Amino acid sequence: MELKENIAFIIYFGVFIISFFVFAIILFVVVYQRKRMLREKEYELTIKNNELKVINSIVETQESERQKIATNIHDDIGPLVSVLKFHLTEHEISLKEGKLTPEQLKKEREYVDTVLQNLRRTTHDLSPLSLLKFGVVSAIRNFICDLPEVEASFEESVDETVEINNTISINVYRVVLELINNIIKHANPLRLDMKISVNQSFISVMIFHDGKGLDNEEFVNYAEESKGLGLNSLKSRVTLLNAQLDFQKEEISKVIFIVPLNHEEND
Amino acid sequence: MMYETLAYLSAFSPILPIIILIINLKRVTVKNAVALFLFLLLPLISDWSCYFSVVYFEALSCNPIIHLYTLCIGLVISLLYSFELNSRKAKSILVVFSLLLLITALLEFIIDKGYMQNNIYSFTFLTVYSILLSMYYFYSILIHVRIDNIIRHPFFLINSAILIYYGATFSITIFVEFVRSDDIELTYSIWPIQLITTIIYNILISIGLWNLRKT
Repeated sequence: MELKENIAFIIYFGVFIISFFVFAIILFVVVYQRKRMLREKEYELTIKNNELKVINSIVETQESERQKIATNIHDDIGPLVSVLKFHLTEHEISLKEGKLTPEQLKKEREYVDTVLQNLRRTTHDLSPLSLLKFGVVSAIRNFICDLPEVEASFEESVDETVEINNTISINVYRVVLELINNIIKHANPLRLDMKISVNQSFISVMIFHDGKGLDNEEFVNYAEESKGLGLNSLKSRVTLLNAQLDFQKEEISKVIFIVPLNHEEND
Repeated sequence: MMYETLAYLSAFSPILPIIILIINLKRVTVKNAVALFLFLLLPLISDWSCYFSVVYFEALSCNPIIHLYTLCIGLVISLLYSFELNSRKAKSILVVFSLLLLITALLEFIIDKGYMQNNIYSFTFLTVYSILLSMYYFYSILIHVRIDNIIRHPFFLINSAILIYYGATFSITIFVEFVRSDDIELTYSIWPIQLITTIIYNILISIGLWNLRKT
């Protein structure tokens, strides 16, 4: 009788011990799967939020570009054309009175040149012709060489066999322009040097300047604090290109921008 | 009859995961393969050495073999977990506990001809250590949540096997040594539970190793 009781006890004991651990493991699996599902939902939400941010940034950038073009036309070209119209009316009267001189016409031609120059600048902002015709390196070179505010130099090392698609070209061009504009606006440099290298794997842009530099941490803080569209657009484009942007603060500060030319990733 | 069947099944059950590991050898790295082979072969070698030393060589006891086995399996378990737990903190814990196990096992072996007696302290240390390691592994995967299909993950199943085996062994050891040590008949009767947990342990490890094909 006692032996039977003992055996029953052993069976209960054994079943209890093994069941306890099995139950604990099953419970763990349930908790784990729930946590995993929550993580996946959070991850999806983060991706959606990031996508929304990028879309917002693109829309805001487009709106800003439109405003800029409208302002350029209204403030720069509009008054010039109005003055031109006024002059032409005056010349019409002078012509009737026989007082119109070749010097007056020459002056008006110079005036028309100014209008054309402003028009060219506006269309260049909209879509730089040299970017489409001669490529990103040429467009950046033109931009750097035309900088009136600083003494600038440009160096390039380009593998001519590399084909860069339009999306990458436009985004690289816009990022470089934004970087240069920010350097000139905030760092007040006297001299600015740029080196561009293009090979089968990447485009590398190095900007050196003697102004007030930034390091990466300062750039992140600045970008977070800034509500300007330029920086948001820059961040979106860098993300889109899967590129690296590195700020080094030294006596001659550096900005290094590297864009991988892995077409599968970038497309 | 039932007891004998269980004993045979338990004695030969470690062969199953070894065969599966050999089949899936290409799917594991060299260091993992070495650690897994040691992990699976040690119990087999220990059991069979005990059997042959007592039955054929008429040894008085196989306790020295069990002393050595406890130390070796503890170190191999540390090695296995060191491949899975990547944090520095976890590796430090593994080194410290392995050293503590080594010291405990050596002291128990040397002091008062301990090699002729049961290695209750080092074995208890090994079981508690294995349970804690297994729980730490569960904790670490729950924190990071990186495994997609946990039920099919090989090391999750191996870890579960370790928890069930050493958890049950620890409970039995405590029960036999400290609660009912006076009741010899009950002590012997409880042995089938140990055999069943050994079979479950080897089946779970086999499933885990089989799942190497699916990961």
